[in-house]
Amino acid sequence: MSYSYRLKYKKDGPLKFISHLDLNTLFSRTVRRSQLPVELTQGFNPRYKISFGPALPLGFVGLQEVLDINLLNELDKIQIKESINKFAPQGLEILDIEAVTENKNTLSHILRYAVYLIKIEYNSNNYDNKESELTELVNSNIQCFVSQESIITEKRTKKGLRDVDLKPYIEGMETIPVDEKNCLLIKLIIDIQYKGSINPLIIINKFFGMFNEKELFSIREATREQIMTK
Amino acid sequence: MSYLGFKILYDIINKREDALAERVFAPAEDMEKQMLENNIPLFSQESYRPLNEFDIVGFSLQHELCYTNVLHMLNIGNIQLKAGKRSEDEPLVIAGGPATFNPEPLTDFIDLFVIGDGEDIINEIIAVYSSWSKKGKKSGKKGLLQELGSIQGIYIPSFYTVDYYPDGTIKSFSCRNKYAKEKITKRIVADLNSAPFPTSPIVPNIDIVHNRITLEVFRGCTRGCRFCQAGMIYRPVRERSEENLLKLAEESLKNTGYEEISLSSLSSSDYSRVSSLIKELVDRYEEKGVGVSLPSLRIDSFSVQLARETQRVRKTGLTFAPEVGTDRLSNTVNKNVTENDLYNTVQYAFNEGWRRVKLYFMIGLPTETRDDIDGIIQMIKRVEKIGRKTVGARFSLNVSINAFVPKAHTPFQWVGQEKEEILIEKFNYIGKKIRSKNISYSFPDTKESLLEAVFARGDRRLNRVIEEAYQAGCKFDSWREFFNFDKWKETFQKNHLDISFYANRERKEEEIMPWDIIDCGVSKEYFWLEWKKAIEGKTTRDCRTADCQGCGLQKICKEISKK
Repeated sequence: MSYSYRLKYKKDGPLKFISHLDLNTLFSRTVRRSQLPVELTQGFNPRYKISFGPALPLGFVGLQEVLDINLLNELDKIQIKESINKFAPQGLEILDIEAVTENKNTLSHILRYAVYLIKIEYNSNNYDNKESELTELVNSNIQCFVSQESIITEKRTKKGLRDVDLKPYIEGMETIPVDEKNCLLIKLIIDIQYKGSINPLIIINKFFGMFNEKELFSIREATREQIMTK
Repeated sequence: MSYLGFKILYDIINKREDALAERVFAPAEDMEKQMLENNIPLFSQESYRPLNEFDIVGFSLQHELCYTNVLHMLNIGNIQLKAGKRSEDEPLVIAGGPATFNPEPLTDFIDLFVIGDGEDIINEIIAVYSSWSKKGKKSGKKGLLQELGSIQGIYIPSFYTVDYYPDGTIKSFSCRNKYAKEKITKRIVADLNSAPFPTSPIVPNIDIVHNRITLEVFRGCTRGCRFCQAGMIYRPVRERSEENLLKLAEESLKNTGYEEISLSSLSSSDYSRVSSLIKELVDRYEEKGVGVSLPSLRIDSFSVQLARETQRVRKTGLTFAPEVGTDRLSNTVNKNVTENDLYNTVQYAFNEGWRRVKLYFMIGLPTETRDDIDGIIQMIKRVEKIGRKTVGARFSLNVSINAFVPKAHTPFQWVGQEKEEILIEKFNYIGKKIRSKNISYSFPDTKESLLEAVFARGDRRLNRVIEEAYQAGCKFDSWREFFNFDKWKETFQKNHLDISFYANRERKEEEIMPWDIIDCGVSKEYFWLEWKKAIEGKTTRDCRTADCQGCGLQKICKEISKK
């Protein structure tokens, strides 16, 4: 028998510099320290049965990430959460936990959209406009950007540079004002079921590149706010 | 991060109430560039404290090609390179590790070297330092060094002067300070069971080499391979008890959450309770998905059986080191493994289901002839034949061949390294003959081996070469993308020093070696005797299974066995 639990967790602080692959190892070791009875995979190199949601790009804070973990015994949810948190390194925290009862509800099945917040800053000495005007400018550029039929960009893949169309990935894009000088947030909703996930910075870079504004902006912070189900 | 000695010392110091240890590493080039641009000096990982704010800076010298990095770290840590020029409030710079068994090339930069096991002496050093510090550092660094110099195992190079003959060999090695010792006797921790062991090491958030629990089952090795420095300088053999190892493994797993335990030593199949230990570890931790691994295997079916036991959890390849290609040369280097041992062992391994094997060889060994090179080729081809027959198309053989570097404190310390052009010719010859779709092979950069040979047996005059080469841009010399031999060559020429004098010259019996001041426990007479036996092709037995061979450690062995 195996009992599946879905964990919501936060990845921030120093851990935002840790890649998805390293997080995988780090999480398994945390869980092994907590002595929870985790189910092992079969095969050559048995590993803990833990499956992660879509990879969080390096440098991003994840506010509500998800993973599934299979235990050999049914345990109290609070107890699971607390024992992992007790052994987690700084920057990793389990926020919430629920039991997964339906087999078909795997993460890759149910996760549909990822919501990102990208904080950008104007390099103000190049711009003397008022902030409200800048927000307006970015907004109208976004309208232009997303109303295109296709948004072709070059993407580095294992097989070299490839043209990809970014348009089908973009489910939503808008600005949110922020109480910080010369800064503004871009909220980006990405369809992660279309062809797997895509790094939102590819979209942001394409966006600023299209309006010859790459030099005028720098990215200050990047956060994945949440991953939504269907 | 990976070196066990580092973790041991870190643990010991941080368990003290009155001291703390933090880690500092040489930054990669991109990071260094950022640090330079932003005016950030080299700092520690734990508290971002600048290197020059520590009381003591300790280097672990793992091999000879890291010497420019020592200078580099001092430099970007804003510490004066030359020990003699450092001010009173700059840190005391010390160094330990295997390369300090010939400390001479770094004597200008290091205040003191720590020779041998570090577990006890590190506490002694801290005790002296802190009492000196509590007294207001009144006697100055000079006074501190004199006090530290009385501790067994500490070598203070500034207490000595070296004079040379016109031909460049050493004329005399003399004390110029009344506190200087005649010989520096290495430190030995007699009982490993009562020695501290780090069961709560730092678990890194990103991957490092040997990212696992390193369980040191014993220290030292008496197999007596004549090329092997580790086999000489870590003597005598001291085992940890099985009971103790199981306890250490349990604690380490609990604290770290690692998924692998590596049984570490110079030859782990030689551990007296190895079968029982492996079985017990696998039985205990199989359910948790924790594997046990053996870094390299002795060439016999017993070792393959051990490996098979570990495979219950995790499947890995097998690594063997026949080192040489003929039984004759095997006797000369005292490896005591026959060609047939290898064939029988790999056959056994393939029968047991392995399909991947790695073999280590060395070329350029003393007395080596074309037959021995052909022997290596034959061995590789024969193993390939056995593999293809038993395993089939999925068989793969990985061959790594290195160039022999004569090291201090070995029976081959008098030998000249083979000339580089001959080594290259031999590598090319072997490479051409072993080309096959089942075989992948790697050869070293012979220029790196050459430079390693220079420093491994170099003298004090190399200090200025290292400093000038560093100023000219040399660092990370063991990274191929950074290694710049032409710059090194230029620096040697500028200083009127001859690379081949250090690397390729055959030395005389009566010659004073730069490292003669260091007593590694095994006597120079024994090394000479072993060298003579090597030429005659006579082997020497392991004192664990035969009588004492009189290597020089008899007294210490008796003391240890009494305890």
